[in-house]
Amino acid sequence: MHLRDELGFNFLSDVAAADYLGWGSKGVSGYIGTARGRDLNEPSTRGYQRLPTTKPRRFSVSYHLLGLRAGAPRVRLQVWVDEDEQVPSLVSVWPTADWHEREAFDLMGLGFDGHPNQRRILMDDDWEGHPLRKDYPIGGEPVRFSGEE
Amino acid sequence: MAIAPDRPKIYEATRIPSPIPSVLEVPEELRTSDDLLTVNFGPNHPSTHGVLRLVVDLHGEDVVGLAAVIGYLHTGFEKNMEQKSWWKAITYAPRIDYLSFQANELVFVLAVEKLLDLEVPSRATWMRMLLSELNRIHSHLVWLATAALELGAISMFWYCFRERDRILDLFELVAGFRLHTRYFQVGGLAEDVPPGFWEECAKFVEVMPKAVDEYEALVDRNEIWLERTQGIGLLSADDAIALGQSGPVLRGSGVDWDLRRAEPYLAYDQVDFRVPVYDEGDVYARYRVRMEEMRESVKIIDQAIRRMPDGPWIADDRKVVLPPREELHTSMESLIHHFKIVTEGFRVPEGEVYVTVESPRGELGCYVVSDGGPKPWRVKFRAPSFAALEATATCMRNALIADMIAIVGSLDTVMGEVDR
Repeated sequence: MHLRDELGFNFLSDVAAADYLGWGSKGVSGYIGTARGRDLNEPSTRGYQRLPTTKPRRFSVSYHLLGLRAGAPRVRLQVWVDEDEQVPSLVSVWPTADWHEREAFDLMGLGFDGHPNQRRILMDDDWEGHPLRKDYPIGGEPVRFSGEE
Repeated sequence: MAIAPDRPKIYEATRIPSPIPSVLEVPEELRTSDDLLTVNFGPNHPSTHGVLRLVVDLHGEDVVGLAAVIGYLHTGFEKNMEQKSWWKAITYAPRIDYLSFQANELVFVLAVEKLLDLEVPSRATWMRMLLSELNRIHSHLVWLATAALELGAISMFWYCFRERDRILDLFELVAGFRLHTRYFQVGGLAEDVPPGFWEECAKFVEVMPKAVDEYEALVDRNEIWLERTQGIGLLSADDAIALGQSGPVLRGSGVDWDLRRAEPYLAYDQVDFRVPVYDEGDVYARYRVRMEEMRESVKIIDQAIRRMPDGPWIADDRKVVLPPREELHTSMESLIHHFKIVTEGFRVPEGEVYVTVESPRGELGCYVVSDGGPKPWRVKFRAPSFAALEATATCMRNALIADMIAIVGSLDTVMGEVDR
């Protein structure tokens, strides 16, 4: 509210959720190394000298705000939560947050406290799991061939 | 109207119909009415621009309730991009919005370049701008063709696709592909512009304004077109801002806002163009904005052709950009760099960025998180169509079922981008 009315960030352009499960650990996102740095078994070429800075919680929700005025100021508001915590909903402040928050709920499994219509938006209503989480298996659904039946 | 009315409580005056901003709720007194009919419009309907499903409550011919159901085209682009190296992930970007592919490609490439802090040669910058504008015309042409087709103006379709084909020919000439060109590379362009492109492009610049005259002659004062677009799908400036509208929808509601001018990227601060704004906030205003944007885009292309700088088309950073092919036979270092980039991919420093461009549909944003490895940690696209569809309920107040087609058409949504 303060940001919108007093600082004039009247345009919510995006709500982006990210999952940091396994951030900086071995084998995730191409990182090959150990917690102390490079892996002796992967000499000199692979792995990074330095681990990425640690993150406070597992999930982040980034609100990208924009002020529609000269200079186009932008600000990123970041909220950190763990798996079973709720994020306060911003629908009453920026109505456009409605679908953006539903998307974060659907794909990342984040709960938004006070959202008027928290349902899945992109996946089916009876879908299990949240696809953009890092622990969601890649490789899709098992396909059942008709010949086996 | 000034940029963003500086009124402190703009959301109090809003006319967004329900606590759930994207749903139009049936009024209390009609809920028990026998005349209430719930119709499923889509997902497989030719006027829904893809696979949009609208659950519409009708009272006679009046639309009294509406909820949009999306997700039929969800293909998990963002998840897929996390699994690919930065280089390969570019290929996914244009497929997200299949009508303004280059805008998507551009925003992702710009985001990666921002993380890398990479300087792009000016020839590449100007060429990117030229192609983005060609792409804008292409997208608006497809919009005009299909929106007019839905309102019964079939001949419009053939006229628009005539020019669209010329643009696709240009894309083919420059990149080898007609759609999904993947011509923008981290650091610049994939290849230099082929000889003969400038002449063809200049011919197009000659033809296009006349073509726009023709379209306007066909529909601009056409009684049926005016009847079906004027005063329909009203969206006030405040509502448009509150609902996160951008691009032609926002400018059609009287807000003078264009990212190309407000926060210039590429070389937009060096070219001369006008941002059309209409105050009416109806379907006709959005149509007018797009028509004039096509003319302005032609002007930008014309200036880009005349002022195209010479020089390299891609940055000379061997950690990121592939070395020239001929060096591979003579230089060991080039061979190593080539091998490393192709097999492992280049690394992008840790960080997160949010980059926006003005796509034909509005503010297209790309949020990228890197953990320092050769793959993106998280990619999120802010799709302008996604926000535009949220406004359907507000636009649809007091609409008739026939207006619904015009309204959904005027928001210019691309379902690939909505569902990603």
